[in-house]
Amino acid sequence: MDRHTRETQFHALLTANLPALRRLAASYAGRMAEQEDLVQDIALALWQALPRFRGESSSRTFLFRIAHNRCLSYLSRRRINDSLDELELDPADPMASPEQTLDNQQASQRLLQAVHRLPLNHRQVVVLALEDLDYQEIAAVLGISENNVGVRLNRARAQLRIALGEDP
Amino acid sequence: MNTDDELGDLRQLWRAASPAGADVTALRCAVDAQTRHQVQVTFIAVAINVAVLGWGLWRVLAGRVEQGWNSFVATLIYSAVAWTLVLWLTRGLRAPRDESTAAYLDVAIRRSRAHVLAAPLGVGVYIVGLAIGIVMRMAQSGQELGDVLRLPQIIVTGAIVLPIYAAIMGVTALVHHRRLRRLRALQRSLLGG
Repeated sequence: MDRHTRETQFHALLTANLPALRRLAASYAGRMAEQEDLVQDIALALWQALPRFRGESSSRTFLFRIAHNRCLSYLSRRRINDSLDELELDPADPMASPEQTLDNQQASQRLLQAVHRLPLNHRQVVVLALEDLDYQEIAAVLGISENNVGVRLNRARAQLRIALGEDP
Repeated sequence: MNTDDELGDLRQLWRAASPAGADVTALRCAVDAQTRHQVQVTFIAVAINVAVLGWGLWRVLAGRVEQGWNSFVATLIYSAVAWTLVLWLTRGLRAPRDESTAAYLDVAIRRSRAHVLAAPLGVGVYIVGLAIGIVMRMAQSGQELGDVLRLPQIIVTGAIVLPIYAAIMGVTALVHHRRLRRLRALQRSLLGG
């Protein structure tokens, strides 16, 4: 792969997926600076891996595979529950109406925090599903079966609803 | 199968969360800086090795050392053994065989294992090098062991550099030992391995 093609693909992939990568990083790292470092790690890993990309999967699947692997690397560098301790978790208010909950940025933050609290194997699946990847793509990113994706997603969804104070 | 119907409104809520951060151009600059840094680190390691060998060769050619060729050949062999060990430890660790989680965790585990192994090997190679240096010095100058051990260069390399190097390698090994445990836990929880 020549440098120009690599450069073009790098820019195209990041431009299209940067907000998704930031959300992914936020679901793993609690502090802003760590989220930034994680996104930079992902960008570097993408740059280094692009020459190995042969088009066997979609470029988005390729990117998310790299991103998830970098997130695992981040987790392996720190104690498993460290980043959870740093989050200021705001417990869901069971009295709040769905309209109130859905209508503001706080609700998004609460969802992000709820995702952050999920067990890792559920978190991985739900983040990809929330980014609109289908079962096949999620299975390809994580290297698990589509059935397994379904099982994990069901459990994750139920846990999320409980965490957000909704009926599972 | 699509996941739309199962997550419903959560997806909209998720998309509304847009953590701030660097843009693509800034990330591209960061990638360049990190790539340059990696190249510089490799260059410095190779440059130090070449400089040491070059300095040794110059001393021999300038006739500044008695039996200088023996010292130079010994340094060359020692350096070759050290680099062979480094290459052996890092074989197949440059990149995962593919981008799958299994391949990534596998290479990450082998990298950490290599770091853990590098500590005793590195310290061992250093001590062997030091011992060779002392023996060659004794052979060349006819000095007793006690006299050689009191030489300033032996005191610096043996009593100061060695403990510092061993401590750094020990801490690195400890960090990677912990990382190895976490990686294996991740492997078990994600892949059932």
